[in-house]
Amino acid sequence: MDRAIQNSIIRFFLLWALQVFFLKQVSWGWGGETYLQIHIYPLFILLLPLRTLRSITLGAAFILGLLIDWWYESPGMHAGALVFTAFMRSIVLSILTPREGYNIKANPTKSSLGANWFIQYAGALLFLHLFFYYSLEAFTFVYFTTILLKLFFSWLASMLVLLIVVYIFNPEA
Amino acid sequence: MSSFLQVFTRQGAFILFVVLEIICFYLIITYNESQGEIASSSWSLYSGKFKDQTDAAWRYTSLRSINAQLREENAELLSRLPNAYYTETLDTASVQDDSLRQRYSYIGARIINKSPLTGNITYVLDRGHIHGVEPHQGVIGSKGVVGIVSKVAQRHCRVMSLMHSNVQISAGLRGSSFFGSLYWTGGDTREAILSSIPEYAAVAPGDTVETTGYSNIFPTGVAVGVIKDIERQKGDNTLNCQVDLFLDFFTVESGYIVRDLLKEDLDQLDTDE
Repeated sequence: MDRAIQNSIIRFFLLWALQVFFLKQVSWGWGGETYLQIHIYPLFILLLPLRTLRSITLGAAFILGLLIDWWYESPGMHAGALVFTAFMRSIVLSILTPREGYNIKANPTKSSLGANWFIQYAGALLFLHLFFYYSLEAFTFVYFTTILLKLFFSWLASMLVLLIVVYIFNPEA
Repeated sequence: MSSFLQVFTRQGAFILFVVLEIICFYLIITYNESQGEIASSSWSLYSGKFKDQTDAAWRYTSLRSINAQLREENAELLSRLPNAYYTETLDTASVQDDSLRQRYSYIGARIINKSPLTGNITYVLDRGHIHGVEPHQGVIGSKGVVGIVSKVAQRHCRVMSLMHSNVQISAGLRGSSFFGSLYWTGGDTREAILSSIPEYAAVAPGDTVETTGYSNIFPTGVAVGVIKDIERQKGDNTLNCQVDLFLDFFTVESGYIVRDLLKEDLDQLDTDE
C-alpha cells in the first residue's frame, strides 16, 4: 500500500483522538459564549494526497466529522463544516497553483510545497471551515459580529496549534 | 441517458457534496435543540408569508364580483339620499304633510368602453333598455357628473361624457343661488367652463360648483368641481369661470345612471305650449 494512504489512515485516527480527547477541553469565552475553540482535525483533509478523488475526500470528511460530532454531541455540525472544507479544498488548491503546476504525485505538505504555500493553504481552508462551523452553530446571520469574533479567536488558536503540529512532525506524505 | 450519466460523473463531487450537506442539515435540525428551534420558527414565518400572499392573490380574483356588489349597494344608498326625493310637503291651514316621494333612482353600471381622446369622448356602459335606461338620463360617478346617456341598446348604453360638445349641464355655486351652464370647450379634460354667471355674483376661486337639478337630468347638489379662474365677459355683464373638475375622465371605471321618476310629469310642461 502507498505510504501516503497509510499515513492518511493513521492521521485519521490520531487527529480524531487528539481532537476529542484533548482539544475538546480547550475552550475560552465570556458571558456564556465560547469564543475560542481549537479545531485540528481539518488537517486530515488538508494533507490528503493531491490525486485523491474528490468524492473520496468528501466521504472521508463526512465520516470524520460524524465521529467528531459523536463526542461533541452536536450531530451534523462538524460533519457539515468538514464536508464544506473538503469541497472547497480543490478550489483553494486551484487558486494556489504554483507557477510550474502541481506534480501529480505531490502531497500538499510543507516539506514538498514550502512553508509559505502551506500557511496560505491551511489558513484559507481553516478560515472557511471555522466560518461554516460557526454559521451552523448560530444557524442564523442575525448575530454576525458574534460569528466573526468566534472565528477570529478560534482561527488564531487553531492555526497556532496546527502549525506547531506540522512543524514538529513535518510529514512528507 | 449517457449524457445524463456524463453530467453525473463530471458533477459527481458537487452532487455528493450537496447530498452530504443535506444530511448534515437534517442531523443538525433534528438533534440540536437551538438550531431546530430557529429552523422551525423561520419555517413557520416563511410559510405564513407564503400563505398570506396566496390568500391575497385569491381574494384579488374575486374583486370583480365584489365591485359589482358594491355598485349595487351604492345605487341603493344613493336613492335614499335627501336629494333623491321629491318633497310633497303641502302647507295648508291645518295639515302639514311631510311625506317624501322617491324622485331619483340609480342604476349602477360599469364603463366597458371609452372612445379615444379625439374631440368628443363617449363611453359605453353595461346597462341598457332592459335595466330601465333611457336616452337623456344622466350618469354620475363617485366624483361628480360623468355624462348623459345618448343611445340605448338592449343591454348597453352609450354615454356622451362631459367632454362632449353636445353636453351642457345646468350648474351653480354651492351655497348661493347663482347658476349658469357648464360645458367643455375642448383641450384639457380636467377643466370646463361655467358661463352665464351674473357679474355681481360673489364668486371666488376655490368655490365649489354643483349641479342645480334644473335640467331634470341630475339631482341637485352633485359636486362637480371647484372654480379656478374667473374672467369677465365684455359686453354682456356675465362671468366665465374656469372649473377644475373632480372627475378624472381617464380613470373613471363605473357610474350610476340617474332615473328621474317624475320625468313624464315634468315633460308635459315642455310639450304643452
